Amino acid sequence: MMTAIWLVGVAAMALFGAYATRFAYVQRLERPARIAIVLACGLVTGSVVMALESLVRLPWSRAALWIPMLAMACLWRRGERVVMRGWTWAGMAVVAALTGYGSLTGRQTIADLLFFWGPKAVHFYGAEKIDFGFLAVPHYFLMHSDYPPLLPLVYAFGAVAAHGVSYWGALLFSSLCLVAAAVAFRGTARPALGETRASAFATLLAAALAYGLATSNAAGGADALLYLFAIVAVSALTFGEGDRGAHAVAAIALTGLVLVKVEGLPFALVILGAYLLARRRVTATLLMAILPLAAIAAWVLAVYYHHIADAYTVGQKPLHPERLGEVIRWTAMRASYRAGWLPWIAGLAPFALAKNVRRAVFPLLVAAGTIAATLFFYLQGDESPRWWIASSAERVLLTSVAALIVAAASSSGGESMC
Amino acid sequence: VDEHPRHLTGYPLVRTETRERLQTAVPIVGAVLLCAMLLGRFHERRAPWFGAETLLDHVAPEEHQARYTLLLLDKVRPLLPKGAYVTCFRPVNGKQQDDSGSFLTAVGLLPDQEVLPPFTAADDSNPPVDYVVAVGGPFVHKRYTRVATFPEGALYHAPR
Repeated sequence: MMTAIWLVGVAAMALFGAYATRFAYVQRLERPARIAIVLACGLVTGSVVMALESLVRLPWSRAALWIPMLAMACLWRRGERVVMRGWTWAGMAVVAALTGYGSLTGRQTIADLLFFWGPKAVHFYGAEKIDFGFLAVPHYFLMHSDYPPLLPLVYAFGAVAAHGVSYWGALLFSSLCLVAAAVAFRGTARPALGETRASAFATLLAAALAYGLATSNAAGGADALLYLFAIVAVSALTFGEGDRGAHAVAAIALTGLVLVKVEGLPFALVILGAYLLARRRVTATLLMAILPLAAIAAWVLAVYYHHIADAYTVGQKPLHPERLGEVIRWTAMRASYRAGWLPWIAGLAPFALAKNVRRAVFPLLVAAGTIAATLFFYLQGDESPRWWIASSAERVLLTSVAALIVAAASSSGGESMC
Repeated sequence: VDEHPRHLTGYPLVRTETRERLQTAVPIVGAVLLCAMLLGRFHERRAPWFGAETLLDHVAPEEHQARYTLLLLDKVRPLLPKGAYVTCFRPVNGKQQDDSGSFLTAVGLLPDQEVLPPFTAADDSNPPVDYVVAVGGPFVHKRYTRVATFPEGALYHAPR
């Protein structure tokens, strides 16, 4: 029962994102995609509200959190009615059932949920704030004290409703994020691809994410949320080209990206850089960069103020370019996902039938850029990266797989956006 | 009819109508294969197929070492007074060891207690923690007495 209440509490954060329904771009999407995008925006906005309340020392009571949430829910606006054919959801429903089963039976749990995501959320909830005192305890340095706080904040928000953090709920929340990412992709791709083909690619995306999540045991951690933000941003920028609403949605999703994991910042920079290269829209790119950079700058300032900087210290880990060969080899081995590189092959195969390769340039650049950023990280530090690659490459590279599938979908599209 | 200029299209490997159908079929085939692989991944992670006692029951073909920590912490939680100093580890030869996994798990599951690292239960630690949650094997220390025993381990207490 507690798990159900906790999940409803977390899902209610979507109400913080009701303002997104005011964007004409979002109003034109089919309803499930609208809700998925509103959920992504709400998770970001709700977390920012929690951080601001923590900053002004307003404890996270139900009133302090739910009143602003309900006030923002008043911004909700009905969207256009888009007719959907039920059978096109069958594939997605099967994948959703499979990933939900994996979570409910403890078949894809990440140990990091027990080691730091969960403990941080539990203590933030107990302290009714971002507890920098807890993060600064030297014994807890293995909890990565300076990791961005979005996930513990989301978990703590659910705890306010359920009087505690539900670890089982956290597993189900990861599955929910995967499904929301695929649903958001389907809705944004549909105007360009048509319902049937958008649905086929959304099913492929959901299946790749679900398989990657299970293979890398990533449920309960921050990765699923990272995929949600990355896919919302990349899909909006790929298919909503030139629309200011799409830019706004992408900016909010990128803010979530930088606040959810350390690699979110380089990935966000890759997405912005790729958009600039592929679409040559300087002003739009700069405007989209403002929110995420301000958010991460605020967090890094807080980290330095409280003397808990670790991952965000500059020049601490020397670069070892001479290891590039072995890093590529080890990473490529892990990138097979113990399935003969099937997720990559499934993402590349549709290019044989591509109609519009030029529209795929942006997501392809994102896929290439995120791979490059991942390899760059593995080249840092004096110790051998072999263990690091073994424990993280499958999870981290799933963002690149997702970008590749978005690229494949966009290349199969109808009218040219170039 | 392909409405796109030739330079924007991909390789015309197949006829337009067939290509339209294949463009939908290829991702579905990929999704079906990935779902089959996913089922295989779940299958290799041991029975029972429904239900789990802990979050880590089926994450690998072999049993996860933190499974017993989760079970034991659930059982000792009601026995621990609020604010007590506690540590948690899997003893080696009856002594504490640097078991970050058990310790960090306890930090999250015992929010009403002060959870400290395993070295606080070393022979020369002064003052030692109030309680030791020893997962698996026994814990041997002259100041600690066993106060509760479970199949997954035991709880030890050192009077102040």
